[in-house]
Amino acid sequence: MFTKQIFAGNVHDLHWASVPILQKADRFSNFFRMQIMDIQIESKPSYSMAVVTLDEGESFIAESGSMVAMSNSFDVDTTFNGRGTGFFDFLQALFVGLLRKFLAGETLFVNTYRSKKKGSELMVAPAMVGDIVNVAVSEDKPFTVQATSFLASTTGVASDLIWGGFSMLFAKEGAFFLRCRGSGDLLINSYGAIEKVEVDGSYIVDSGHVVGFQGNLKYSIQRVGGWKATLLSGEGLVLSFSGQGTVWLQTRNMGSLVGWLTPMLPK
Amino acid sequence: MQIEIKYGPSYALAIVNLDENEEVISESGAMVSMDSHVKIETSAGKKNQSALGGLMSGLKRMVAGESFFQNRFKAEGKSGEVTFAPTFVGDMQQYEMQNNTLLIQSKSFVCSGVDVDLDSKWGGGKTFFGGEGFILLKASGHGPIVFNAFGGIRRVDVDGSFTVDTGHIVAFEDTLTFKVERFGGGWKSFIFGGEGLVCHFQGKGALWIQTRNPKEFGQLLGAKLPMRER
Repeated sequence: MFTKQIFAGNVHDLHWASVPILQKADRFSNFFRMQIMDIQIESKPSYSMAVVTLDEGESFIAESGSMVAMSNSFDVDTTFNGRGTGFFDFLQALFVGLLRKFLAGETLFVNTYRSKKKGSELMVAPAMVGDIVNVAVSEDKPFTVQATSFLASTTGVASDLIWGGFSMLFAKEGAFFLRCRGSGDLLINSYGAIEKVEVDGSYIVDSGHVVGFQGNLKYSIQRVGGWKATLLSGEGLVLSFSGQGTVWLQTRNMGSLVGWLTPMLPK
Repeated sequence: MQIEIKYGPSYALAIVNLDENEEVISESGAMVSMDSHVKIETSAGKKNQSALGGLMSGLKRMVAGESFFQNRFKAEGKSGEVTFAPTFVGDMQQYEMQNNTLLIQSKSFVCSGVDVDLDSKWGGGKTFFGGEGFILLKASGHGPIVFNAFGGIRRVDVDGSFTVDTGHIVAFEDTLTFKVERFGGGWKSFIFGGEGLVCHFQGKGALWIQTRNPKEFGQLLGAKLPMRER
């Protein structure tokens, strides 16, 4: 699962060549296929794009609007990311979806691409300039990702929506988190590059720089600077982490970019 | 003419080395630097075209989203160098035309040799309603042509069929036929905002895509900026 990041090109074939027995074991092949799905990330770190190669019957989930190009051998379905199955869940999804669209101009909808042919290619990229990183999610290691940083995942990963708290609304970014459970690959995207920080004890990250976190970590939202700074600028909110785990952060902050650009615009 | 592209994928620069009295045509405003003996001539039409013909050529280019005027750079008396860069951050790609036709997304043209003819072409009726500009520049003839991308460039060799988001198309060989359609998984993606318009390609030929979508990027950032006052 991790080796595929090291090789370039036809890693997928390489794996199959090294495990010929699995090709015949249909019962297990789906499991292993999921593990070795070929995901290459190109044009790193400024304009990263993920190129995913799928076998027949394999599926891949990607944020609505992120598709760059694809083979004409996919069935596509749109669903809510972080969904349940009942009617109530649907209503909740609808409400949250509209709320998010209104508040942050984001959509939490995802497309599921199901391959009808071996070797089908799917390319996905975020709208913002920056990187894509592939992180592993497992049953004992769920990953919490800032909702705007979710790009794509294998189908073994399921997401629950987490409300980041009212105070996070002022920060504009990060009012919602997705808690990704299950097992598989998760692609997260950033503005700028992504830095990985191992936390043991406590650590503070600006709310606009948080991409996601994993492990036994708790966080609280705190202010740095006075209320005035928080209310007027939307800046000054931080996530204070405590415990043991890993935090992924982005090296640039969209709020700051907007803040810098705004006074430069012509009146 | 020798062309070298440096500093890709983020800030690509095309360095064009012209032989004695050789010429290169560029999108106006793309020139970064040049040797002092290189002469620059700005015109709407071709070298021996009538004034009316020149006007029409310029207007057609404007329709295609390019500039009305084009610049011709000529290395007079001895060989010389001209360098070009596009507005967008991203990569550039050189392509050698061999009496074939290449269709380029309107904003992606950088420069070309004098034996490459440029013309505009409609991307199809649906683009008009979709609002997403998909007007193409049609390059034919022979010689080098350079085009640029927003982000990285990936070449896809299509054999059969392939789908690309219209905002990610850079260029493609005209051996591919295309059709612009709305993409998505039914009514849900229609309501909640999805992929928008995609281009379905058929046939056999090369296709270049860019890893970022200028319009998507603009809308993402634009939505967070204050309203423009009038």
